[in-house]
Amino acid sequence: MSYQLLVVLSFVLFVIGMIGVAMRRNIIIVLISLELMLNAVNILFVAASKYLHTMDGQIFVIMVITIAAAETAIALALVVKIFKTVGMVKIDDMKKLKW
Amino acid sequence: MINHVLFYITAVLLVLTYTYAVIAGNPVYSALAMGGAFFLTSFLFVLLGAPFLAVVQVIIYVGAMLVMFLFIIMMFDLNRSSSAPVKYKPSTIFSYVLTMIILLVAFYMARGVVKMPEGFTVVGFGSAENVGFNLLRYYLLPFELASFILLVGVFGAITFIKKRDRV
Repeated sequence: MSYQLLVVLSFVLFVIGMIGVAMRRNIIIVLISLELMLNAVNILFVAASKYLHTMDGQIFVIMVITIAAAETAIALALVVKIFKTVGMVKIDDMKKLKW
Repeated sequence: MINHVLFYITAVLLVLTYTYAVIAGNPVYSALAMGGAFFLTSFLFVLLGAPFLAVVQVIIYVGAMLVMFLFIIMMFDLNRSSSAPVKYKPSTIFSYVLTMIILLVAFYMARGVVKMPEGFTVVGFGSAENVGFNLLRYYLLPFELASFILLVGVFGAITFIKKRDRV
């Protein structure tokens, strides 16, 4: 369980999430991929916290979790609003800014 | 040695669940794979000496965020018929049995019949005490700012959802 291995794992997970954000057209799956990217970063923070013997990384993970929760709430509220307005949850349908 | 084996198993399962969450066609499966990935991440946190974060991860991500996602997905998939009779497949029965076992263990653990394993109570690095001390001693301002951001998030979500008054 070396540090390099954890960095590689975190990087791989981040890239998988990034592929999801870039390639999926369903807005809910895009949001899920966003959460997965944040989670991959959290793994890296905790790994660095373990190998540097300091608590700063773990404190930062708590902050990231807080921001992620607020972000998810707002994003899902937006999804509901878009669904009520446009009637679809595909990203390609969101071309207009007016409602 | 056992830590290494557990780490490799967790890493492989994490990559698999991440991939499935990204490529799944149905958003429900995607959200459930996300929940599995969060559980595995909390397991990884335990291996990395952050037991408090593991608990927080399960409570917030699986307990709040996954339920929120599933709520929204279920709101949108209303055209699919939901009145089909429940079929008792082996997996359904297995999940019922597993739930009953978990509930029983939790019940007896709460009654004090089943003891926590020796050395499970966490002190020192990564414990709740240590995290709380650091959070309130050295990171008080970011802590308060985070609570303020949550308040802003609540306002934002309500503002998006509520109907606008026509004047």
